[in-house]
Amino acid sequence: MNEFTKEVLRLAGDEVKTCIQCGTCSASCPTAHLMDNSIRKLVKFVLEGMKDEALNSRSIWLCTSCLACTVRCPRGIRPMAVVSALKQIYEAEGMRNRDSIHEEIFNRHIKERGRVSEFFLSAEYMLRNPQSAAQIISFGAELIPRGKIDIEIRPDSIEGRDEVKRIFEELGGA
Amino acid sequence: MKLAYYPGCVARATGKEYEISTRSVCSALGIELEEIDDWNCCGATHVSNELVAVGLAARNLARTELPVMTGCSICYSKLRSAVLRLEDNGVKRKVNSVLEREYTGAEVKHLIEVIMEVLEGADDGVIASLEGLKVAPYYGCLLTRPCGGIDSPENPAVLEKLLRTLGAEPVDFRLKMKCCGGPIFMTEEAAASDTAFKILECAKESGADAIMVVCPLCHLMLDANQHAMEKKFGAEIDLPVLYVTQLTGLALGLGVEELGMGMNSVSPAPVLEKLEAARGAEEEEGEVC
Amino acid sequence: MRIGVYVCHCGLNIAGVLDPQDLSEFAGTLPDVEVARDIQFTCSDTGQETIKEDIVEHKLDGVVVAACSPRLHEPTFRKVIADAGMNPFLLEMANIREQCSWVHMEEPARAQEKAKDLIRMAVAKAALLNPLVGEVMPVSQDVLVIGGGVAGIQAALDLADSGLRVYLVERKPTIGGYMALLTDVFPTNDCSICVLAPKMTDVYNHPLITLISYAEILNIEGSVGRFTVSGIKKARFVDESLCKGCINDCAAVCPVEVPDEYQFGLGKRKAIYMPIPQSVPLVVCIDPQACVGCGLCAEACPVDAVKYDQEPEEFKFDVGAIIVATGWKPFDPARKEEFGYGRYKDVITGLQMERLLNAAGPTRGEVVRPSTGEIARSIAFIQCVGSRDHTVGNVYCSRVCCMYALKNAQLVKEKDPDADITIHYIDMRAGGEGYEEFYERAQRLGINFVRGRVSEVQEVDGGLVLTYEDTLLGRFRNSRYDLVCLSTGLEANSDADVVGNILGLAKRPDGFFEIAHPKMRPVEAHIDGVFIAGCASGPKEIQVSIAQGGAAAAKALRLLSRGELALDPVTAMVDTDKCIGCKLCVEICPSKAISVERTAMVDEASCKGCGTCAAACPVDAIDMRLFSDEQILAQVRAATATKREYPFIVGFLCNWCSYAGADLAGTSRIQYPPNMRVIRVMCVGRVDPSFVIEALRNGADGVLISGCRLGECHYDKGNYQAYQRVQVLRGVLEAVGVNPKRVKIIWCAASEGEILAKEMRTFVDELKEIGSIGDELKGGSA
Ligand SMILES: Cc1cc2nc3c(=O)[nH]c(=O)nc-3n(C[C@H](O)[C@H](O)[C@H](O)COP(=O)(O)OP(=O)(O)OC[C@H]3O[C@@H](n4cnc5c(N)ncnc54)[C@H](O)[C@@H]3O)c2cc1C
Ligand code: SF4
Ligand code: SF4
Ligand code: SF4
Ligand code: SF4
Repeated sequence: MNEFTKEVLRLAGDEVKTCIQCGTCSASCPTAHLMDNSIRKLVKFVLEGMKDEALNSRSIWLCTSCLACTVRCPRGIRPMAVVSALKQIYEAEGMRNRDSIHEEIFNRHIKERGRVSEFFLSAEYMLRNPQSAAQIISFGAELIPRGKIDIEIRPDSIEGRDEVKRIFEELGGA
Repeated sequence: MKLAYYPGCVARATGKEYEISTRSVCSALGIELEEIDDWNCCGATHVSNELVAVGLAARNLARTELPVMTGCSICYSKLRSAVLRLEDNGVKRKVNSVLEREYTGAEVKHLIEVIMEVLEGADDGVIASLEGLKVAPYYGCLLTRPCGGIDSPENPAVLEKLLRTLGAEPVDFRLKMKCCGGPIFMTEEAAASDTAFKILECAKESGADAIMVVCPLCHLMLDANQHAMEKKFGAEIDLPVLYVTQLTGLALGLGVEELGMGMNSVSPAPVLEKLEAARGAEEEEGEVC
Repeated sequence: MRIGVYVCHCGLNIAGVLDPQDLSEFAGTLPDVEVARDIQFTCSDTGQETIKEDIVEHKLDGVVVAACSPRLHEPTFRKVIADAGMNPFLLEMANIREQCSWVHMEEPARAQEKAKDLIRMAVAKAALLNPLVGEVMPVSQDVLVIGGGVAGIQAALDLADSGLRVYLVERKPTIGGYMALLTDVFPTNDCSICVLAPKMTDVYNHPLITLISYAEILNIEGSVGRFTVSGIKKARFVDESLCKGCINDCAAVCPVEVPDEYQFGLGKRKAIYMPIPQSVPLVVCIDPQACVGCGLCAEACPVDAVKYDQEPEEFKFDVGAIIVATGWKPFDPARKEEFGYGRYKDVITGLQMERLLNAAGPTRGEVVRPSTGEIARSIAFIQCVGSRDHTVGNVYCSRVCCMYALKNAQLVKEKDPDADITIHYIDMRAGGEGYEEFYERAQRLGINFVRGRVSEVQEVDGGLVLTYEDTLLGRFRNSRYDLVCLSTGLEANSDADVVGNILGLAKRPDGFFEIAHPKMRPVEAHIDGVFIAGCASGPKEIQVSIAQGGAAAAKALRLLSRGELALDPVTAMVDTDKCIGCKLCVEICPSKAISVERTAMVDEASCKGCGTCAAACPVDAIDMRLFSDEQILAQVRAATATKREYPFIVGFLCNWCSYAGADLAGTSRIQYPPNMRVIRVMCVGRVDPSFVIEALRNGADGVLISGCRLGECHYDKGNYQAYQRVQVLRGVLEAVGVNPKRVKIIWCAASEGEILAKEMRTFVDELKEIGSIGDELKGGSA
């Protein structure tokens, strides 16, 4: 078993080994038809140690975290946890794409301020991924006039931000 | 009834009308809400590290002694998953080692559980029944998942029950449990819209006058994004999407302002008109007798 | 004591490595030894004669044979000394072939020392042996069969045909079990009831079978050979002796209709009903829950058989053995909500499909959509519903549902060759004679197979839409069918819970009754005199259920055929003065042989002699008649008398697996260092911590305990008990400053001689690292 497989098993649970490739997870998945490699295949990639194939699958980023797979897997595997593990390894390997950038911004905002603000999240994401500008601006045009997104000058933070930071640093290392 | 209230980040932004209507409905029902002091984001679906996610939830839960209520299905699922994970003493010990206030245990409730409880207890709660209104109850993904919470993750009925209590008629809605795609909307717009639009079409086919949602992200996808998707897919939907609290508020006789109805993207006017008409008809009938 | 010692040459098998003459001279110097000889082949006629002559001439009261493994020739030599008038239990063997000369071929000098120790140990034990007499107990030759499914029917008929009286107790108003409700059956597709009904009638007509139907067993007391069974026969409200089984008159007038449990909800029956047309006994029954007491049936009955005031009848009888054939119960598919059973009328179960296909079923053999009554033209079968599924807690494969789906698909296809039939499966399991061929036949008939578990079923516009991934193509599909049949699995029958509890039957994690050994004893329970057949011990097809019914009958016959039981005297005994009545032994005994009133009592007929209780008793009130504390401690002391090895190891090996594994190492000539002196016990559960402490106290550097692999113990869980005790003991050792690694517990199957040899090598190395016993104490004080 290669290191990649071991790492995914550590993060997502040893029971992943017992997958029987039944396809319940993929058939339950709302975005499976749009994925290059279904969640079922991702599990197989993991077990076969096919790191590149797994990490380069667009599917990781098409998972909506809906847990449909997880409540149904007959082996008690949490396929979504496999996706989470792959996202973590992707980032740890220094790989980047628009989805992981969004993930990274989101996490950093919580870590630094305790909460996320739609405005700053979108703004930073737009800067780092200019292709998203059109979508974000048109959505803003829908929401801002309705008073649903406040245009903030300075992002506010919670008082316990140090504690939140520790949660990321000390629990995230494990 | 007094509860700790966890709004979640979205309620403070795109889900403002949810928070407004939540507060109005709770006060009308005699539910006192005490916002958790200095709460933090639950991480939603974006924190991949499980332990960090548990830690974020635990910090919120440790900040109150009261049962915690939230209206966001994602927050609800995250908080509840954390409670389950924290039953493991090893996890609890690790998490507590970084928390300032010790986590000792918590009860987590979704807003709809609370509303149901109160309405079931009070026999004259609903003053203006939603009779005549056909509503598609949309569960979305995380209200019932992971399992063991409010209702079955495969065949839940709690929203239908709530709608009936309000006097509305729940329609048969095949995609009521399919995920709206919200969590990936920002990054994977095409996939998210594909998913969300199917849900809208299905609700439309079911003959509903409106969709009822219980999560601000679902609302964002189905309501705020509805016009854009209509354009994109070249089909007309024009289906009001109302929060559970907005519908409950209407049934309790609250006004549209108190319910933040002006903030909805798809105008709820047809729903209001239909209700008005039904009530008018009733009154007329009453006069005849 | 006057002991004779016989050292065997076994040709060159022993003498090629050891020096038997030197060994016999050594034996002659040991206390209590009256005569010692070396013999070419001790098991030969001349060898046997020599021993017999010595017994008479020297008035021996103990015999030690140093030769091959006791597992091979202990019975031979016991018979030899019995022939010479000695009690056969006064024999002890020293295993100097399999566990000495064959495994230390390169080190004859050390092997010679080991052989001397083994002989000294055997002599020490022999000096403490007591004559034992196996009592003979008269037994009842009658047998109780619980459950009248096909397995129970077969058992009852085989026993009765062999001349034993059988009580067949069935809970339902008719015997037959599920087989009576099936349509044609795989793998030959012959009509199920046609092959079963004659057997059911045979049961009814057999002079030696007493059929007690519609009955409940409430209590069973006693043990093997003399069980007393009592229970009640429920009221049918119909006089069995009068009812002609005509059914038409009474049922025709009965105004009450309820769902028919024998049609699995697809049809209706009256409050007065005949379960199935072929019911045995052919007597109707009134359902007291449904009956409104109108009295119409009593009026209609031409023979006045209806008796509203009938009371339940008690019964009580004695039997020598019991066969549990209580079968299974169907998984409730409403628990898999995503498949819509109970919500959508056109989602049915395998059993409902059996009834639809059955010519005597509610639709006379037409497969219709329950929602409309129209013939179903497209049908999907979903496999593994409620089996192989952690979400419902059933991890096992139900074994018959692949085959019954193949069967029912074929039956539909034969009626309607254009029907569109698809089987959605994870794996098709068709292991059995003619089964794979059966699968191929289904393929040739044009049945579609899709590999991929269906994720959900939804009703859309009056049809059923299945969502799945065809995992072989990697395509996602939604397919529409008229009818969906769920291949629901088999679960342990909750109807048997009471009986299981009364008998103290163990359950496996899957809920079915556990058999005494997962391979070697397929129809025996852990309790003596109790046998299990058919689906009571797990899902199986008809053929295997019948085979097990027959096998259980043969086992019961073998047990009771002589009318008496020779009890094995190798049992536990209680010192009632010491016993404090704590009941620890009651819980631990795998054979349920101990009961406690004020003090413990061992039922010798049930005790299998594993000795786990003796090791567990906190006040040492239990001892074994053979393998007694005294004998084992004497062996330990004899083993450690000279300690010409370093590190010096005392081993406790269980008779069934590890000792046999060590013998296998011998026959395979696997070489290992001669550091260990082995003491044979029946089960590692027998190893009392005091034995281990005695060995260490006497200077052994290490103690190795080896039992059967976990889950394979011949006495259920003796190895787990041993493991727990060793863990506790290690803690104690550590507390007093002795390195706990000196005590090692391992698992080794009878086939794993190599593993045992390897463990021995590693243990020797580990002990070398730790040093001599006492080193750590010296270090500590320094
Ligand atoms: C849909 C379906 C189709 C099948 N088709 C086939 C096939 O084609 N070919 C094949 O080989 N196998 C088939 N099988 C398997 C077959 O049904 C079993 O092999 C068979 O029923 C096993 O018989 P049994 O006697 O062990 O158990 P059962 O048939 O369950 O009989 C047990 C009996 O014990 C009685 N009982 C239970 N508890 C008590 C109690 N406490 N006291 C007294 N009596 C009690 C029950 O009432 C019952 O009469 C099929 C199974 C299913 C589900
Ligand atoms: S549902 Fe579970 S067992 Fe089946 S393919 Fe997915 S992960 Fe594997
Ligand atoms: S959690 Fe992700 S992988 Fe699982 S079903 Fe939902 S979207 Fe698919
Ligand atoms: S007495 Fe009972 S069983 Fe007889 S006809 Fe009336 S309802 Fe039916
Ligand atoms: S027999 Fe076939 S359908 Fe039944 S559980 Fe086993 S694999 Fe699944």
